[in-house]
Amino acid sequence: MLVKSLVAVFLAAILTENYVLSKFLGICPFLGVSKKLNTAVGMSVAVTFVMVLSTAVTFPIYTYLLVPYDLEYLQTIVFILIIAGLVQLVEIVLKKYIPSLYESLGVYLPLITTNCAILGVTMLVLQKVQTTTAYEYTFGHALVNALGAGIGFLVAMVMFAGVRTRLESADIPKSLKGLPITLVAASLVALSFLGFSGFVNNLIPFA
Amino acid sequence: MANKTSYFKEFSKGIIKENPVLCLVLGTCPTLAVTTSAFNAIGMGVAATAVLMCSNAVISLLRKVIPDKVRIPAYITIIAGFVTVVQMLVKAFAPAIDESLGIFLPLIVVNCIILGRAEMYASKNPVIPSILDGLGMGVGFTAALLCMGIIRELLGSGSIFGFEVLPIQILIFILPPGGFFVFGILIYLANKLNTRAGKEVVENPCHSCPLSQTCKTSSFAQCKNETTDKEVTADVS
Amino acid sequence: MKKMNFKSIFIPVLSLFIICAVIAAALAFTNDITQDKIAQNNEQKKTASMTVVCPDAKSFDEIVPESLYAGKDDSGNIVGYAVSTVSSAGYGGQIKVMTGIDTNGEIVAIDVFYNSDETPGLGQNTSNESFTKSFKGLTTSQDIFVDKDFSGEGQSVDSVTAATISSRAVVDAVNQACQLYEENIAGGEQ
Repeated sequence: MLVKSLVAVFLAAILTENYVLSKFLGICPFLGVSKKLNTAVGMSVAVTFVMVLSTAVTFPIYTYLLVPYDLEYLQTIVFILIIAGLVQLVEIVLKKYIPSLYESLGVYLPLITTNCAILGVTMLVLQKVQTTTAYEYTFGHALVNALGAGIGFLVAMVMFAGVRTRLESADIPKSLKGLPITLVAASLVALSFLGFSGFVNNLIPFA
Repeated sequence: MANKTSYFKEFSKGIIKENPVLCLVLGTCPTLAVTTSAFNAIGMGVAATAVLMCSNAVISLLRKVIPDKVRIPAYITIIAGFVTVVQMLVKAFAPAIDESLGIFLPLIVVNCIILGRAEMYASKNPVIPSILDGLGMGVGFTAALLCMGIIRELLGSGSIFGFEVLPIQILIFILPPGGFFVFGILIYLANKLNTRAGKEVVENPCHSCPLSQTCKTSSFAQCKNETTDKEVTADVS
Repeated sequence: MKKMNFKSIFIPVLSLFIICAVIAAALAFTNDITQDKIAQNNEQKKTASMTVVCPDAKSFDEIVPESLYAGKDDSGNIVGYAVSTVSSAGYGGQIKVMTGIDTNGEIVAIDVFYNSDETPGLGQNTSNESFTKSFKGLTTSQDIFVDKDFSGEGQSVDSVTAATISSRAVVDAVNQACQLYEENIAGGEQ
């Protein structure tokens, strides 16, 4: 039951609840750094890492500190400060101890603080604790959800990077060049993800 | 008198010339997510405008007090504070808006328009122009959202503000793909108008991104090169 | 030099601390004035929904905390029951449904009072009357299915076009309500 629910959470986060293509979180990096495959992958890995890390910190803080003292209203401010602090910390640690990793991921870190996908995922997993009734939604589920959200972001970025390299060589009317045609292409990628709706619920039913 | 006209300029620039959504391409997430109906679009626009004006005012007041080193965390704290206040007020006095905006209400915190105006305008200008700048940008944001909201609601649900007008409904417009599509077409129209007016089309979000100075991504370097290109393209990366 | 360092660390920390403290105080103050109003709003919404599904009742008694309410008329006779249930199996999240049941165990009306997480124009159509009225007259003693899952046993309702998942979630909530009714009211009487 536990494994089944974890798999369901993971798959749903990647496919049906894709943060970029169905929840519109993290659109800026999705449009901004998806032009080349390697930057797309680098950004996604950094996002996934910070997502899991910040969920691992914010989840216990919310459950064991904010809720018992009726401080739920501080959620937004506490979470954004934790994320900003964590991003800084990760940057410093990477720079000092794993310079090679810092070379490849460090450049994306400052952009991540204001990435709404991170704040979004830390808040949405807490909503799910209250709204999931089919099984108990635990800390483990939250972490798996965050990981899935990050991988979903990666999948969307990589797919979109592929689409955009094809766009490069296409003959496009002048005013449509750049952002407009990119958005239309994003629309088609989002359309393909619509096909997954109901997929996970039917694959792994909880009834 | 000269003052009055310049104040008006601070206010009006955000609505058309430097429209945050259509010209600077900031705040794309809420623009796509909450514009499934005109009502939602207005709710989001008004909430963000309130936060923008308040945070601009406070940041401008404190611009000489906040040490440069910690200015970004300080701005984020102030913005998050106002967002939470607005969130509580909306919950108490307009619960319908709270329900339809859902998570995007607290996510105003990470709306780059707000941090962007704090960093680029409010931290360098006196209080009154900062408030007007916030109001103008907010109205521009609301106008763009409303535009998207009306188009998507009209085509997707066949109604405007909940009143039925069209007998047909093309559902895809209120689903995520429709959001991307309508936004793309709107930016295309904005580009077209700008080129006709002989204005340069600047469409690199990196320009207006509040973190452009700290961001050292290779894509930012690309950005710089692209803007120096002779052919002006509306490019993102 | 050392003093400089101390100053360059101390002042930013202090100023951030002061900003945080002031903001936290402002939030606590706003929370204080709005929380009653927010609680009142939620309560009002629930009561309004209960009145919709149980129109003859003048007042409600809580039988099962937060979910099962008995509607009473002016003279204190039970005229029906309003059951509030939640399904988490919606497309975007939770769907909250109020089910009105009369004293004979027949569904009078349902009201989908929260479905904002569903897709507008699709899943959100589950609150439309064309869908909710199909529950009228069904009995609480048999399971309800949407037409797609219906195998001939129990009762079925037509799902909302292109929103099977949301429709299933509403049916799930109504089934929960029926079960609560059977366990606490029908089972208790017989």
